[in-house]
Formats: sequence, structure tokens, C-alpha cells
Amino acid sequence: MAKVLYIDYERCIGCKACVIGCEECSGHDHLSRMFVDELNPGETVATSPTPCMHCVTPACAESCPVQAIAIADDGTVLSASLEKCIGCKNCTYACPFGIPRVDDVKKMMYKCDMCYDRTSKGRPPMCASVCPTDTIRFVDEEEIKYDPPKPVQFKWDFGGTVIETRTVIGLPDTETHRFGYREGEGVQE
Amino acid sequence: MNFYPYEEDSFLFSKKSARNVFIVLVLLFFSIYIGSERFGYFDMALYGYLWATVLCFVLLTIRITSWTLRPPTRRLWKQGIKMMLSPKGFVFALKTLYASIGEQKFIRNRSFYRWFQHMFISWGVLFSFGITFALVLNWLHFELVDSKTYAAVAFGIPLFRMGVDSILAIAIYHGLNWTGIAVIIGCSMALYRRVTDEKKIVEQSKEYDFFPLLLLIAISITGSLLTVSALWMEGAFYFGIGLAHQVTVIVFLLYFPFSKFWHLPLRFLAVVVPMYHALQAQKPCARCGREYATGTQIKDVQLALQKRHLSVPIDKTGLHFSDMCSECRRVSHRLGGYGAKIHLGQAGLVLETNGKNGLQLEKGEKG
Amino acid sequence: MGHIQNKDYSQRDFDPIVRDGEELISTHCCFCGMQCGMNIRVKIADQTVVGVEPRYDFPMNGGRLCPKGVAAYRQAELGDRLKTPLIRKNGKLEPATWDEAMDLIVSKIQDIQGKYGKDAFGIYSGSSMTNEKCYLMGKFARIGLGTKNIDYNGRYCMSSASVGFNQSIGIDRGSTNPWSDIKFADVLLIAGSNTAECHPLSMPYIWGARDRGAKLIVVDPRQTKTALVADVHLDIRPGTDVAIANGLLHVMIEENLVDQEFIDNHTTGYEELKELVKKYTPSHVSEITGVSVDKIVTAARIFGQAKNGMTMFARGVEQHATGTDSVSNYVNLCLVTGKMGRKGSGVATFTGQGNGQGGREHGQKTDQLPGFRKITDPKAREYIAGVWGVEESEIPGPGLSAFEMLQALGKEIKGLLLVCSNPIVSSPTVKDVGGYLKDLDFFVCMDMFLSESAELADVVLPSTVWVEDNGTMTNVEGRVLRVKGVDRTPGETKRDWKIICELAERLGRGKYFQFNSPEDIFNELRVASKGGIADYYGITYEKLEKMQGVFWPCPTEESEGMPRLFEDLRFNFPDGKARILAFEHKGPNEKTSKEYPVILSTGRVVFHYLSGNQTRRIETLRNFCPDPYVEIHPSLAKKYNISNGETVKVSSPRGSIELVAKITKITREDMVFVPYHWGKELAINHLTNPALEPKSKIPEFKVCAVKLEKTSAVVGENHG
Repeated sequence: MAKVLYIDYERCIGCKACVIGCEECSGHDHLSRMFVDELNPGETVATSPTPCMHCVTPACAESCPVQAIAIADDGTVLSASLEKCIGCKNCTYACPFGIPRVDDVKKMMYKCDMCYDRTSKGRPPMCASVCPTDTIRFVDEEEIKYDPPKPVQFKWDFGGTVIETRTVIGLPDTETHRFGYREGEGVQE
Repeated sequence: MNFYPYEEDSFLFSKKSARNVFIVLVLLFFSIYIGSERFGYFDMALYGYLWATVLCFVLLTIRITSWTLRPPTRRLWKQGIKMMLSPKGFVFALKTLYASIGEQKFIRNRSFYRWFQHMFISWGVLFSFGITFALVLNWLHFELVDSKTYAAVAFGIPLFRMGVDSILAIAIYHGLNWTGIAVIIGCSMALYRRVTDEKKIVEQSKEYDFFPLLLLIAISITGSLLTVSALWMEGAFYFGIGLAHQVTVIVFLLYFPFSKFWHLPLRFLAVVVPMYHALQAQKPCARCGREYATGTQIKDVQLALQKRHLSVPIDKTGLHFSDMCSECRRVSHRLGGYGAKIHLGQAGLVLETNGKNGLQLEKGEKG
Repeated sequence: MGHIQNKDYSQRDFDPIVRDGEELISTHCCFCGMQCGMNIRVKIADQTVVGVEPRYDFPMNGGRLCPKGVAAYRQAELGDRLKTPLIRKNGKLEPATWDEAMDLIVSKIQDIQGKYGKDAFGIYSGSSMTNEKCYLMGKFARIGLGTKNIDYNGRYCMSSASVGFNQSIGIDRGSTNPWSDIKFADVLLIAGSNTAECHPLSMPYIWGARDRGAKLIVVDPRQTKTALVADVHLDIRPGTDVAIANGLLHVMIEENLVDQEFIDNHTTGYEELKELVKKYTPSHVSEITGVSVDKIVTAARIFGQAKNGMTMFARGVEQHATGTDSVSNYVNLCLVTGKMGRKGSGVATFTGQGNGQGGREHGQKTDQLPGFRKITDPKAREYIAGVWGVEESEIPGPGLSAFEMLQALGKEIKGLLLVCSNPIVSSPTVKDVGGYLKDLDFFVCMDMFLSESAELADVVLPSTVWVEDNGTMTNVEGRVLRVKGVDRTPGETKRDWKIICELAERLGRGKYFQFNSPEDIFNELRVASKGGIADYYGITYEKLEKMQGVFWPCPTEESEGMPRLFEDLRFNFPDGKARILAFEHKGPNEKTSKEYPVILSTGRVVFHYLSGNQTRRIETLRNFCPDPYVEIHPSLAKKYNISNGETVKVSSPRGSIELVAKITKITREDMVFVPYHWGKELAINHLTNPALEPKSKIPEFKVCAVKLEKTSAVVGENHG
């Protein structure tokens, strides 16, 4: 059954093990494709990792003038093919999730391919393998989308444009704010 | 790979292709007509090559038509041509042309070994193309002026003369041999790297990667063997080798527009990119205010996405996600996810989640 | 026998990927007491270390790693590794041969010991080494050099927990329970530990408990990532741990949330505690600690009402002048509520150093002999003398503790062997420590990189990195683990244990140090620890491999070790009863004053390990956190007119440093926080207070009084 990345960012500790782990994947040429961002610096220590969301209809590929971004049979959106990519960065700007990066010197775009060399052998991607807090997990697609343990995001409605992603984001508890994910939360009142 | 044309109007592609193919065929015909001095110097030995070349041109035209019809491609071409019309842009483009196609600096930055290999292959193939097309389409031929002198004639215009045994003449006769050797060296290096460097590059399948290399080597070897046969073997096996060579070249010409070699035409678009990035004004991120792209490109991208029905607007603000830098886009999604407000400092707006995983203006501040 | 102990949900059913031309060495991370399992990728052809591969089947971490763990292997191939011995000539360290270096060391040792007595040569050791090396250091000091003065950097780290556990429950094993027990707790009280950053691999266990509905109470002056996701965050003023625990005890006793039956049958001293905490009402405690009454009461109720629960703490509780009191007082929380000896009930301290646990068990602590034996206990001395084949009288008595030893350099102690430690970054008042080291007649240092301390040495011996040696480590749970290495010694490097054995040989004590492998040493350690509290006798390399680690005590060959202590509720005292000890709140040694009005607390960041000698050299980790900074609350910053990114001079009565300000609401208004991983002018330990805990001799790193001055405008834009 298809497995996808699941990001439960409430658990992220901002350690960037995924960022370094990503460099360790054999197809990645020691270039990390993972992001960890501080969400509210100065207010809280909340952070979140972001791998590629692996859109069903990827804006990066649609915006590529040279059709360099291919989608693998399993739905994984791949990095631009080296010989085609002209380094124009359309993908960087088109992606609503802020994922593709372009190396200006080598003129190549690189992004998460879910560690194709690992997933093709049935192993989880590096980020999900090393994540010390289980923020990033490699789970069954059907289950996490349609029977999730908590509210999740995988259909994104941008003013009528609906983009479905294979990567699933788990949301922090926003009902009771039990885990401190609320606005402007400092240490003292 | 996606060969499908962009369908805004289902007949657009057919119409444009037909028009372009017609233009190319007419141009080809006239170039042959003039080059062969009204079919006076027609090299019948190259007849098979001629038809394959013509077919290759036709296929390539269709492929390029399909490609340039895609909104992002079309947009970038137009921008490129517009910029190149200014003197500054023209100089810029020439410089890039040298750096990225002449010197292929970006490949050297990837790895020196790969640069070496690619320089051999690319220049080998480009010169071979030049020589082959020139001879096959009869754009260029050599006339024996007297028993010791050749004249090179291009499109019916005599260019220069040279001694039959002169070094220049030998260099020119064997032009294809030299390029062939370069291609063999480059391809061998590439094959060696692929075998030893077991890195699985997911973007490339084995067939897609190995076949072109083997094909190039086959062409080069059969081509060189023709010379070997003629020079040292008194023409033994010449016909067989010639046939093999012809078959490999024809396969190559027909395979060209749909294979790894397709990146060759794409590279010319790459020439546009650096000036596209450098010659326009930078634009600040709507949230953090950091300059992250040119305004022109952001508009172009938004236009291209719109044509693909993939616009990602932020409510009715007139802003799209692409008006924020990558980091702010990632952060905004997460902030929205846990119900925090997103302050677009630069744009002076406050956003919140729209309940459907997108963003909207904060309630009470509806615009 | 031979099953994997505490097979846990954290294990995952995947095999690692082995790439062509490579082999995997399954070992453990060199950083921190979690001792996560990992596979090191080694190129077979030339034995170079090329990468890391998750070890999915290891029960503790199931292949998960923190950033330090992922990048750990990169230190093996760093260009600035020491490859030859260095000798100081004309004030400069110059490459030399092993013979030259060893001859010099031996002659200096003999010189100094001849002139000033045996104890004039000391050993300052470390706890990031294997059990074998730690054991060997203790033995080498006692009967190789014959000096009483050996102590180790764990003194800065775990000693309060050690004393506190010993005085309360009679045994010092970092955790009474295996980590897999954590998820069965109904409440977790984590005090003085930024678990998320310092022991990231504990987080899946904590989330495991939370997924079952457990509550999390975090005691920390900062809203760390651990505190951010807590149900109750007790944001105490640094140095008020005893008071907050007294407050929690007060509420639990008042509201009758204690387990009277457990108290009656298995503890002593409850009445004194009850009497003492009477005056620690929530409002009184709120005044001392700065935590709201509401939060104190809520936390006490959550903790008291839960059936099972664990109290876990770390340096934030221990590195105080009252560290042992705080530790025992947090243990009291579990004792009065009967949360002991069951799945999900117990106490634990997060071990900081790689072998923080094993390093303090086998005799490199100045008051100890192997197996947690007291060096003053005649029976223990006799037994160990028998194992070593020496007269009992040949074993010296207790010497100076770590920081006291540093202070005695140049005075009582004229020569020093420094192993696996970097005291000039990690000690309080580092400037003075630099002076002490310079006062030495002779200073020899063993390290794999030229650390800040090694830069001052007269002789530097190049040792191997962790992945080039074999041995055992004991992790936070008391689980003894097998670490394996590549069989190589780059350049002229030698393994630490080999160097020590050779040194003993040259000192004419070779017959006591006839070891050909770490396993030889371990087999002697097993015998030496036999009958002690930390009994390793039943543990063999073979068993470690088969069972993926064995929990001590493991007294017989048949034994499979003891993952959970006190299941019979008999504590390690003659009467089997745990000691409930009562403590008054005294507060930190140094109070804030008019001149120094702000509290300074120090700690770690996730990207660096201890003095940073290893992690600061690894490019990725360095880039993620290149320099120290000072965290200041916006309202405090406003008082001094400091903005984000500006330079601030932080001074205590002992020294000052300049740091970039990071304005953040995660820290209290009455304090600032600075990470401690840097040396020289970036060392926050210029400022920290050397006041020692009277029982554990741990310096008070966590609290001192400082003042702030803004020195310049923004130096670097801090994007994001």
C-alpha cells in the first residue's frame, strides 16, 4: 500500500536532524532538501519541518518551461532532471508550499524525492528514519488521510483552487490549546 | 515524460504545427536548392541521410511547437526576446551564451569530471551536426578547381581554396573523425561514471540514460571505421560499415526530438534565464519584506499558473502565495494550521486560516 | 536467554540498507547518555567512515537520531584531527614521536612524584569514554601512578543526582525504570531538563505516554520546547527547586493525595517532611518561585491523583549549591505517592555524558572503587586489592574532587594527565582555571582534537575517535551496551587504553596492565564490580550482543540483568526502606544584588555537545549554531534598551563576555540564558559561580548574578 510522509509539527523540536539526515541519502548529493522553520521567533520556540508536499497536480511541474519536473509512478514529484533544468526558478515561486530550491551556481533545482533509493527498497525516507520525536512519519496514505488520529491537512483550498497533496500535515491541538500552540504565548503572563 | 501539447484550443497545436512544418520545409527546400546550385551538385550517396534529416527537422519542429505553446515556456521566450532587443540585454545574452553553452560553466560547478565528459560529447555532437547537415543538405561542397586545389563552396558561393594534400584539407576531410573521437572519449567517461558511481539518480532511468550513450558511440565507431576501411583496408567491408553507419545515424536523427538529446534545444532557453533574473527590479516578500525575486517573474509565474487553473490566491487581496518568499509561505501554512494570525508586514494585511487550509483576510477586516 | 530486553514500540521492522562496497558497523552514538543505536557506513576498500545508516532494530531509539547523532560520524574524517604526538618546544607545540613523548612523560612523572610525593601527579578524566577506559583510568591512577588524586568531569554533571539517589533510595542508577516504562506513566514530572533539546530521543517516549492520555508537568525557568507542550509549565525562578517541590508536597499532603500505606511500609522520615512542608503553602511557594498559585495546585493535584508517574530531572536541578537536596526532594514526590517499582512509576535523571552512568561506577571518581564501592570501605579496598593483585595498603585513599583538583594545580598537584575532557571550557571561572593549568610543572593531555585545554598542554597525545575503538557504555537506563568500531588508527593515533597500558609499562607497573583488548579489560572489570552495587559480573560481550544490551545489576552468568529496580519495594538500605528527607529552601549561593540584578542560567543547545570540542568542528552543526547568544525577555531588554541582534556585555563578579542578544519571550523576565558550548572569549563559564555543593562537589552552573550593558548596535540581521 502507498505510504506517505506525515508531519505532526506539534512534536517538532527544531533540531534539524531531518535536514542533516536528508544529506545522507544516496541520491541527494549531500544537498539537503528538507526545511525546518521557526514559526514565531521571539514568541515561542515552535518550529515545523516541511518536506515536499508531493501535490497530485504539482504547480512546480506546471510552471516549468522545460518540463524538467517529472512525477514517478508512485506519485512522487521528482527533482528537475539535471540536463533539462535551466535554473529559471519558476518552480520555486510557483510552489504554494515553498519547497523547490535552485542552486544558482550549479544551475540545478533540487527538492525532496522522498529518498527514492530508500522508499524503492521499502525503507522509510531518511527524515522519517531519523526524526527523534516522530514528528515526521512514513505511514499508510489511506489511513492517515481518512482515519487520522487528529485533524489533518491534505486538501488545500486556495480561493477555489483545490490542491491535494500526498504529504499530510497533522495539526496541533487548537480546540483546547493544551500543548501551548496559541498566539503570542510567552513564558509569563 | 509529458509530450502532450498544451490545449487551450484543441486545434491550436495542429494549426501551429502545420504552419511551422510548412515554413521549415520551404526553407529547407530553398536552402538545398541554393546550396546544390539548382541540384547541380547533389551527392546521391547521402540520399538516405537527407530524408532522415528532413524528417528529423519536421519532428523537431512539431516538438518545439508543442513545447513553446506551454504558457510558462511561451512567456519566458517572449520575455527573452524582448530583453534581447535592448543593447544591454543582447550583450548579456551573448555573455551567457558563452558561459553556459560555450564554456558550460554550470556543469563544471557540478563536477570537473562531468564537465570534461560533457564538453567532449557536446562539442563533438554539435560539430558533427554542423558538418553532417551542411553536407547532407548540400549547403557546402568541395569543387576540384585543378588537380591540386579544392574550393569550398557554401550556398553556391566559393569561400576559399586549399591544396589537396594541405593540412587544412586533411583536417577538414577528417572533421567527422575528430568529432567522433571526442564523442567516444566523452561517452566512455560517462559510461564509466554511471557504472562505478552507483548512485541511483531517480530522475533518470537506465534506458533513458544508457541508450543515447551507446547510440552515440555506435555512430562514432561506425563512422571512424569507414575511414579505417578506406585508408588502411583498401575499402574492405566499406559497404557494410556504411550501411551500419547510415542506420545508426538515421535512428539517432529520428530519436533526437524525443530523447535525452531533446535537452539541446532547451539549453538555448537557458541563455535567457540569467538576464531574466538580473535585468528586472527585485520584489519584496509581502510578509517579511525581504527581496526574493523579480516582480516580472512573479507575474509571469502567476499568469502561467492561471492558464493551468492552478492559481493560488490569498483571499481577495490580489496577492498570491508567490507574493511571499518560500520561507514565509511555509511558515504561513503552519501558523494558519494552529489558528494564529499571519501578519503580512510588508503588505499591511492580517490573515487567518479560511477553514479549508487556505488563507483569508482576518474577519472584520474584509476587503 | 538471549532475547532483546525491553523490545519496544520504538523499534521498527526494517533492515538497514548496505550500499555496494560498504559495510555497516552497528554501534552507538558518542554523544549523550541516551546512547542511541546507529550504523556507521564504512568503505571496505580503505576503511574510511562515509556516513550513517539508521539502526531500526535497536530497542532504545529504533534508528531515530538527533542532529548530533546524524553528524557524529563526520568527526572521524575531519582534517584537524590530531595525528601525531605534540611536544611543547620553545613555547610551541611541535610534532614528535611517540617515544619522545612517552619518555618525556615518564621522566616528568618520576621527577614530580620523586620531588613532591605520589599525590602530586593527578588525573582529570572524562565520562564520554567506554567503561573499559574509565575503569582503566581509576586503576592506573591508584596502582599505576599511586596517586589519590583522580577525578572526572562527571563531577560537573551527575554527581548531585548520584548523591541524592544514594541518600534517598540507596542506589545510583540513572533511572530506576527502563525508558520503555515511560509510556505507561499517567503523569510525567520533568524538572530542570530541556529534554527536547538535550535528550531528543526521550521525546517519542514522552509522546507515547501522552498519546495514552498522560499529563506532562515541566519545571523549567524557560519555555523550552519541552515546556511548550506541557499541561502545566512551572516556570520557576532559577534555584528554587527545593521550594517548588516542597510546595507540591504541601498540596499533596494537605489534600491527602499521598499513599499512606506505601509511606508506612516502605519509607522512613515522612513525619519530619510533613512537619517541614507545612509552611510551604502555595502562596508562600509562589512568592519564592514566581510560579502562580494556581499552577502549583494544579500540578500537585495532577501528580497526586495519577496512579503511575515518573519524576525525571537533569542538570537544571542538579547543578546547584543545593543540588542534592533538590534531587532528594523530587524523589520524595514519588516516595510519598508510592510511585515506585512499577511499570510507569519511578525516578530518573537524564544522563548528560555519553557514558555518564558507566563513568561514575567503576572507580575514576576519587572516592570510589569499581562497582560503586566506597574507597574508604576496608572490605571494598581488600576485595579490589585482591582483584588487582596488590596489597590493600597500596591503594590510596580519597583525593580531591574535580574542581578542587583544578584549584590545587600548581600547589598540591604539580603534574596533570587530562583525558577526554576540556575543563577550560566546562569549569566555572574558566579564566582562573587557565591560570591553574599554566601553573602546572607538567601538563599532558590526551585528545583527538586540539581542544582549548590541549592548547595549553606540554605534551598532547593523539587518541582515536569513538568509532575507532571497541568497548561498552552504560546508558541513561543503566543498560550496558556494546560499542563497536572500525579497525583503524589513522596516522600515529593510538587508542586511549593502549596509551595507558604503555605508560604503565614504562613506569614499571606493566604487570598490572597486561591487556590486549577492551574485552580483556572488561573481563577484569566484571570481576572487580562483582558483589558491588553496579554488578557487571554476569555481563559478557557475547550477552550484550545477543540481548542488545543488559541492565545492571547482573550478578551471575545466568542473570539477564534488572531493567526495573525495586519491584519488591525493598530499597537499598539494610531495613529496605527508602529515606524521605526534608529540606528547607535555601536558594542559590549567589543572590542577585543592586549591582548584579539579573539571574544568569546556562545550558545546552541541541546542536552541540558539552564543551563543543567535537560538535563545533562539524560544519553542519557549527552552521546551525555558530556562536553563543544571550536570551533576554522583551521587557528586560526594554529596560536596557536592547534590541534583537545587538551586542550585550554580560558581567558577573568573576568576569564578563560580549554576546549577541536574542530577544524572546521564552525566558523569564528576571533572568537571562546563555548556552555554554564555547571556549575562550565566548565561554559563559567566565561568569559562572564556582560555589560547590557540599556533598556532591558540583559547581553551581545554573545560577549566578549578572548585570547587562548594551555595547553596540545590531551586528547581524537575524532573519526568521
